[in-house]
Amino acid sequence: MGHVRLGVLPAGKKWAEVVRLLQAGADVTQLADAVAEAAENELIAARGDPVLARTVWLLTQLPLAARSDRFAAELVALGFPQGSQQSLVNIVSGFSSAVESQLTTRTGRTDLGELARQAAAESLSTLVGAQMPTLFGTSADDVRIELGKLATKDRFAGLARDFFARLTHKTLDYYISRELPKHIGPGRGFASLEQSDRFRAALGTHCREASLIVESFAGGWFSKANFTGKLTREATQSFTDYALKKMRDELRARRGGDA
Amino acid sequence: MHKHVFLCGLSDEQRTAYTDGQFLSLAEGAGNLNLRLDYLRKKLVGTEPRKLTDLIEIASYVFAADRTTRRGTEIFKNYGEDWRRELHMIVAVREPGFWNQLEVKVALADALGFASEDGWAFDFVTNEHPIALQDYLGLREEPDDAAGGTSVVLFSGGLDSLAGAAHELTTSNRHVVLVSHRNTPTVGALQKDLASSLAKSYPKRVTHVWVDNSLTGKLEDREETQRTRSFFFVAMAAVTAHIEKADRIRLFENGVMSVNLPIATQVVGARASRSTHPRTLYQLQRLIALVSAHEIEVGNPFLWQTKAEVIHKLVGSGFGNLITRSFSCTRSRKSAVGYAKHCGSCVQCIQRRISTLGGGAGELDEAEGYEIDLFTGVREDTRDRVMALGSIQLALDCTKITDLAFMGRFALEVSQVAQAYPTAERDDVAKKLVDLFRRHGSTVRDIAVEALQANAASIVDKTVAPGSLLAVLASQNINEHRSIEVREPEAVRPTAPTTVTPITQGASDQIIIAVDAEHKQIRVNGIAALKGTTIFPLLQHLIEMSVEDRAALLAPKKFNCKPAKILADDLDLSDEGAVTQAVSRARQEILEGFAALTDVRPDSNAIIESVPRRGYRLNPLVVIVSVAEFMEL
Repeated sequence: MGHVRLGVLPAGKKWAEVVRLLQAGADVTQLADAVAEAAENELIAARGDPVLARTVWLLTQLPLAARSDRFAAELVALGFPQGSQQSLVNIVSGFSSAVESQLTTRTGRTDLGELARQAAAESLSTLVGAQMPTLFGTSADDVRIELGKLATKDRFAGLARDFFARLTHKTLDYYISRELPKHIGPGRGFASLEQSDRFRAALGTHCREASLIVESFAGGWFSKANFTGKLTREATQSFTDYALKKMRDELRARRGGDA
Repeated sequence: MHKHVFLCGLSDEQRTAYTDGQFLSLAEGAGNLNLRLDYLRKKLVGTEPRKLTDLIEIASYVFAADRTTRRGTEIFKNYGEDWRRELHMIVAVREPGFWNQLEVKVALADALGFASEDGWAFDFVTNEHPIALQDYLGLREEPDDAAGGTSVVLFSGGLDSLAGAAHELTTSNRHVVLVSHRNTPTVGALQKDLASSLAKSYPKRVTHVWVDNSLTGKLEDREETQRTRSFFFVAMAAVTAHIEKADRIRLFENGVMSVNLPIATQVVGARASRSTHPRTLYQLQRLIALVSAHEIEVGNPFLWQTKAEVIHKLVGSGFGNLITRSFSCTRSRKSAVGYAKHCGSCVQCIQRRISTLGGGAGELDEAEGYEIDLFTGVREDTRDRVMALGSIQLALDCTKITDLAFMGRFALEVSQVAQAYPTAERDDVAKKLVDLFRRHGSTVRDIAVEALQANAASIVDKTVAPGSLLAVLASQNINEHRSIEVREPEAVRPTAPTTVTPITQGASDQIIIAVDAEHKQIRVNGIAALKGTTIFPLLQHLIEMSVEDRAALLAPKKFNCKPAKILADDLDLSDEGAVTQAVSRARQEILEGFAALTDVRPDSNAIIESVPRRGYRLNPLVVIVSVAEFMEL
């Protein structure tokens, strides 16, 4: 029953502006900022999501665990199931389990946390997978080595950038996808599937470009915090809040040509 | 998130121990839930299966709690904060010692948690007035031939369950017990008609059992998603399996619908039903293994087949003539007045029509049976368009998708399927999943091409109905090329070498900056780059002044300053207020960045220093480097 439950955009002037921009087939920078603006309070309300916090924490810990001689045991300590080190698919599956493993209730969970979990799984799969000769059937050693490389300053910066680019894209499309299909077709804002595809791709590119701001500080933060023994959950939460705020600032600035 | 407490089957005295909670009861007359499993009473022999009887009562209460507790509105405010519910069930059972074991409670909560995305907590007390299992069972019985073993098949009357029943009958000599939920009299009549047709071909090998489960009194169906539905029906199937001595419970559903990838980013978590998801079935299997005295396998043999392939198989089994009498539409199923046609708009109708056309059974599934034709029907309702375009776009995107692009889009969903399998099999599972969706994509592509060919004249004559899927597909500009091969967008690459380097970062609190003219930003070690139409030129100017002072080997205290008014003139700003405002904003960003990312708490003069009566300058303690040097820090 209700095999797929769909949502609608909230009422209000800001959301009406989003609909107006979609009707007009507006450019990505305008639309991205309009959605971010309309959803700003909702994003602030959802920032304490425990899944989001645990996801980013595990992204900081997984590369460090891969540098350990006791990789398998370190994974288990992080909440990964036994055997997760065997392949990239197992790492990603294990990551998803590890996010859940220490969260005993659903209290405070929101869709933002789920979007973060999706983004992390995709970032790990593509950044590590792209370095592998094959995506499925990878060897445990190859996976460990590639994951370990993410613990360097620059590679962690790339991981953080990819993650926040995906997460930002998802948080925007979370709303846009409720309305966009109404505006695809002849005589509408997006005349064809191709135009809608281009829009989706442009939105992704826009978020990737905006995420350069995260790359500018993520690597330095990670390596310094790790070096000084201050890579704590609290520090990671603070980093996450800051990154989300900077992404929001960046979207706003890019609309005004201020980027 | 709201917490909800339910007191289930507790006696009056037991209830006095709780100050809060919705009372649920299956007791005849005094209760507010009905439970009936038709046809089986005479077959129940031997000792009553106390744990299984507990299980169907628990499942009834869970299903009732699910149906009566809303998940918030369709706006999904604050990123769906009300979608996930916390439900605390206090249930009276025959075997509280068993059910209160941690392992059993965890298995219960896991089986429900993934399927519903809710938090489920259980506490069990002694059932002081247990109802005998016999009292839940009907009287009727049919002779059967179970010499080849028995399978229990959940039978909705939809295409997949019909094909599954046919599959079980034609590929084995097993007795097949069909378990149906009679939502409405019309759906019940349809299920009976299909089951009778199967029974005619396989006498004594088909038994049809109905489950009636309804809310009475003041209880109302308030939440239509019913994500615990499969838990309830598997529980009913388990007790049926016990009575019938069956060793298999089958939930037949094609892999595309079973995995149910999100058709849009808004479809998060269990907003796409997980009722037959492999992980749901795996967790239900674990629970049944704990509860049942004999081994029962819970599975979906159609997991690695598309719906078109399932239909092709159904036609091959000789039951293609039943397609037109099967019914898949969820909207019509929910209607109390029954149905006339498939709505053509819900995801089940869309997938059904795609698959009968793609499975070579279009003639057995008449277009007139749908309120809205798949391609030529007009869809103006926003959600109808999301459903239709989302389903088609997802499939077309998968046609030639690379493994990497698939994982770049659905890695979490792949991992959740993989979790139902041992670690050694997970890579194969992922590969099979990508292949499944590629095949599904090819089916959709082929029928889209056929639809375009069949409607070529309308397209040329420009008489295609606006608002139809056909109009969208035909509106491709000749200069536009929709690439079928979907690749992962170029990953964000690090700018530094990719060789393994040690994790080294000095603990120095020294502030180091660089002018990144290409990106019009000032890089500052440890925090986000500073940018903006005023902040960047202001800082760039102050840095250039500082570079000159350093080149002139001035003592730091003699480094030059500029008053706001002069800076405003130099930078072509409106007035000195614009300068002080930019300084203030830059300082705020700097302090905010250090507070969020470091232990360092610089004072407001750490980068832009105010020198009384002289103006602003770059703090002489700041180290200035090139962007290239900065990147190597």
